[in-house]
Amino acid sequence: MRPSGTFPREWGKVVTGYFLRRVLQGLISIVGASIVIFFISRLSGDPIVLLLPTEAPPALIEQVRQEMGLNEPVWKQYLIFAGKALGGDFGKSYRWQAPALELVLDRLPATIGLALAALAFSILLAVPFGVLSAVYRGSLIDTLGKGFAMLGQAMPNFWVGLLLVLIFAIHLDVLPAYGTGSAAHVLMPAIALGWYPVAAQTRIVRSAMLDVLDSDYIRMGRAVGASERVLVWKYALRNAAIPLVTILGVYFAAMLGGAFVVETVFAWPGVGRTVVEAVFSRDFPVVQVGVLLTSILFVTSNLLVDLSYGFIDPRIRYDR
Amino acid sequence: MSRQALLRVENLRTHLFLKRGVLKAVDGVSLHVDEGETLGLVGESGSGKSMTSLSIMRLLPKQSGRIVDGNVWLDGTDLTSLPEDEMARDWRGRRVSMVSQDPMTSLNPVFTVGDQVGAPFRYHKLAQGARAVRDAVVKVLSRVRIPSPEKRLDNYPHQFSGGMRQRVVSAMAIACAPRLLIADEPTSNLDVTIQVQMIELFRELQRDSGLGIILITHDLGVAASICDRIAVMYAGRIVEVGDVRTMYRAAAHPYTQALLNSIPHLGQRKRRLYAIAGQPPSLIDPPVGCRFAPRCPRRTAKCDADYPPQVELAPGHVTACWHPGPGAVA
Amino acid sequence: MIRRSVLGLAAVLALAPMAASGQGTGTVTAGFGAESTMLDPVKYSAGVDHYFMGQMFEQLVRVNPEQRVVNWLAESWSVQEENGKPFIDVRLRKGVKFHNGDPLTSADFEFAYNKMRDPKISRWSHNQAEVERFEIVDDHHFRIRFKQADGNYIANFLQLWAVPKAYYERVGEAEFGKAPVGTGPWKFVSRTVKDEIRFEAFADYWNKDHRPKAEKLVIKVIPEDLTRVAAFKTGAIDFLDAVPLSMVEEFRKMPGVKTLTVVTGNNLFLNFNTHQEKSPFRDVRVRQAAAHAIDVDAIIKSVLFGQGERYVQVGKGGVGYDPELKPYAYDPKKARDLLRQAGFPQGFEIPCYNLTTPREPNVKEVGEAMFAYLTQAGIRCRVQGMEYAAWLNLARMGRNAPPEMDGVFSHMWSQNLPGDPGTAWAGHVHTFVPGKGWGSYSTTSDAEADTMIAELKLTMDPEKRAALARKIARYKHEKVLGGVPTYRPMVTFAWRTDKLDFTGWPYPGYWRGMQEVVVKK
Repeated sequence: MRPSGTFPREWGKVVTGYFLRRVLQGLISIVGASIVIFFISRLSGDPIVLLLPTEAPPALIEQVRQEMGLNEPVWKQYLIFAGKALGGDFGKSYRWQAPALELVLDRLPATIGLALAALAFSILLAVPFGVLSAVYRGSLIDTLGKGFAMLGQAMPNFWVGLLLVLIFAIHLDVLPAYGTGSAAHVLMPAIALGWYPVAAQTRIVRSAMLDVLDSDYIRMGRAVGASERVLVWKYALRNAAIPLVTILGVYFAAMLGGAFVVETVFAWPGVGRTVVEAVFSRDFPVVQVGVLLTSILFVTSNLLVDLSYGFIDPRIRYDR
Repeated sequence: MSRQALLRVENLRTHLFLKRGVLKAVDGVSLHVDEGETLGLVGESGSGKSMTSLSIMRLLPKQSGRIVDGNVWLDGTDLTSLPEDEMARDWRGRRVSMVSQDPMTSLNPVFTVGDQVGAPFRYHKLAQGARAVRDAVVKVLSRVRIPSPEKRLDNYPHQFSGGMRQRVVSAMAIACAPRLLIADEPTSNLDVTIQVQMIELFRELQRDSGLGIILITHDLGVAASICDRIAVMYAGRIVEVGDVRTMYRAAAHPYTQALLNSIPHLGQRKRRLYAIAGQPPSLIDPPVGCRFAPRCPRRTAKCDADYPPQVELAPGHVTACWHPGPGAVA
Repeated sequence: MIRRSVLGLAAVLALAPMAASGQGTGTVTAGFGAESTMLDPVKYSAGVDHYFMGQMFEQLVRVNPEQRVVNWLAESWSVQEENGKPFIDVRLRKGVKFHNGDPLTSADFEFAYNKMRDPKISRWSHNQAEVERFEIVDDHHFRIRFKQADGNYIANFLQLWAVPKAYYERVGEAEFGKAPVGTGPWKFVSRTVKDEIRFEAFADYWNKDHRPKAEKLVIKVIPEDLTRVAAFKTGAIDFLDAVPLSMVEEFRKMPGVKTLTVVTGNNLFLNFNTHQEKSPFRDVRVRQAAAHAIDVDAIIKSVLFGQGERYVQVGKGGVGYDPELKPYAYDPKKARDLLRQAGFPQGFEIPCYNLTTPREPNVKEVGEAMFAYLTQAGIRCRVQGMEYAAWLNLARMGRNAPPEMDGVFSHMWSQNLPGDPGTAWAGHVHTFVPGKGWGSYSTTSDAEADTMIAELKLTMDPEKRAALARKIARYKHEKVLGGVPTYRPMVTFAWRTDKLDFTGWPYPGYWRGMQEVVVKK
């Protein structure tokens, strides 16, 4: 058996190689996504028609098309785009006539913040529900937990959002209906967005806990005299966290993508809204940058999740 | 009995309440263990030996298992009547502890060995403060002969070999200097050399501290080497009990004899190993008479009609059989 | 002596803030349902840009709350002729200042004209196509010389915006777009995209009679209807834009709240594929049948909760409005008769294209209702929903690729406020002439209509224009050319009476211009 090296140094060496490999894989995914989106968005239709007023003469339409480089074959357009992009120039938004990168970057923190808050909320509900459901398996608590989680999957997040606005902003007047600025502002959007994954996360925690609670080492812990509380919340939960962390990365990405509905309901100035509106108005540069940044976030969050395994599960530190 | 029995189990009945019915896993078991003595509890799987030990520790599955009758006296205290928090605080892992089957899975993979071995000290408040716990852990790890324990406190279970892990588990079990140690098939998954080491360790502990040990095993060879007495269980009941020599030389119950016959000997020239024909009876609906009868070479109508009473063949040698006596050696 | 001067000083100091803040205090907090993408008037692209732009920038003339076009930055103007070519002679108002203190002069309008006619800068450059040159006579007198008459120039409020030349050239286009400077009653303070825009009242605003009496204006962008309503109900905003149709009644009855319901300037109609040879709609009887088949009033009442105005060709108050002209009555029996006469006793099947993007509230539901009526009368609709871009693309003429607009099309074309059909009819009634800008979305081809519409373009005199437009409207109505008009959408605003007084100015800003808003103490 390998002797124990000091944890940080050994881990560092192995992780660097692994890390580099994953970053390379990530880069390939990102470039791939950018190509696909570039081609598909141009298939979706003609942005010029949307930009110019209806009575614009065809000559003007053609001229604008030429100016924007949209008359070139698509592959050529991509090369031009890629060339400029490597220099940091992602073009100007057709609609806003401002640099697309700036437009998207300015709104990105708001969406990331919202997605993180939603994720935190979902974990805050899923972990206790999942653990209690497992510990009191078959009981009323378990049934309630499952029912609650099912509700989460059945209710669409815009509906939850509107419901929250109705109850807490209009009727009870304890929370602001829209906008940003304080913790109170992020509460309802985070709940509306984080609602849906609670079901899946609860199920995962529950089944992981059930597995773990049945294990020999938990039995050993019990035999050694640990109280149920310590066994469940310290020794069992850490093991059950591993599958949960796996899907957290996926759900974070899902929340980034699904945020636009919640952003619209709560007038949250995020990137989701920006990109979706750009899709509808065929604002290709903004769509391109938006998708690019989102795919970078997605790849990064998955990478972080993978790296975090090493923190949670020491067995994994050495077998890359 | 002249010596005060460390452990006295009287008429223990443990039932498992399952969907398909009530399983009478332990159906009237009585035994005793003296200080410094090792009792071997032998039987095939499903005989109730693990359930007996779980009942003593009160570690039965919460939703389905329950001790429905009997008492378990340890040092004069009836463990079956204690409230759960007292049992956990003062007894389980402290005065009676357990080492279970598979060392590979008995340790929590995501916590350090230092944390896990320190756990019993923390729970039973035998060491206060991180420093004291650490010292106690190092001490007990050296006791189980783990080299350079102070360097390995931050290691994880997967960084230890199988044999080392078994020692770690044993360390957890003896950390609080228990009075009774229940070892449930502790050597079944280890190779022979490690088995020998484990056995030596247990004996040493026993010599030093008067520890009583119940060794649960299906391996009569291991039982012979370290047990003082052996109790044989079948279908939830003890069918024969006696000291080691008697059991191996003059076992009286047909089941015990069959078990002895199944041990392959070095130099044995047989094509097929002896196996006992048939299956143990259902414990949900056990038969009225002797439970081994269907598989017994000495079966008579009487055996099926009534359950045989306990018969003391010699001091300390008890069996429950209508036709006890030396059997044919196959 | 000293006491008097101290008192005097105190009085001056006390009054100074009031004078400096433009005789107003307090903040107007408004919630809009959409936001502008452009703040620079020479770069403005769509109607929604007026929402913000209209607070800061002004034109030579303006539509007042009574829907009459009045002189604004122009003290006076007239259409004159020289050598057979028309020109607009403009005398600029004196003493008008930009937000940065620069005085307004002819050079600023010339500057705007040069930018607005440049297709690289402006998306509406074609509107300046007939202008030959911009002639400055002096700082407050200029002439717009035309190659040939252009009635649309007059119809579109003389097109030009007051843009500060010196300032614009100094800071550059990008900076100007981020922090614009105009002559309007509100001065730009800050903006966060997708969130809000802030203004403060312009102390040196030229129009002392019609100006806001407030200190600050904050416009919050809240696209989701219910959230916007929630913001109003909880008091987070005091002025609510676009009350959801289903809640208008509730708001009208709300104590302490006043509402204003007005037409938005858009005109909806149903168009037909009369450009295709085999189309049943080539027969005027079939078109008339379609007009009789739909109960527009019922649709307005139930689907739009009454928030729609029936119109026939030109809306009330518009150029060419004819009170004598009545819409085709809802008469399904007559519709079926007409179909039979036209040779369709069993009716016929036809694709019907519906806009699903809510460019106007409930436009999808209205379309579905109209198609249901058509189906009942025998024009059996195969309804196809399309989102905005695809819908727009389908209606465009001159594409040499599928899809084909081969049926009924739920269409819209703004005639602006108070209403002038010139541009709209040039686009969807005049025959499509590739390369000339006529009929870019037109399936109609009628020689007489073409002649009249072309003449309308050349008519700059308002009275002659109105008369000609009426004539075209009647002709169009009888022959059901360029589709069947259905309704004009309406929008409702609401505000708290204990906080605000609001008078709606139609344009620019499409009623959202806070020209005359008063914050009550």
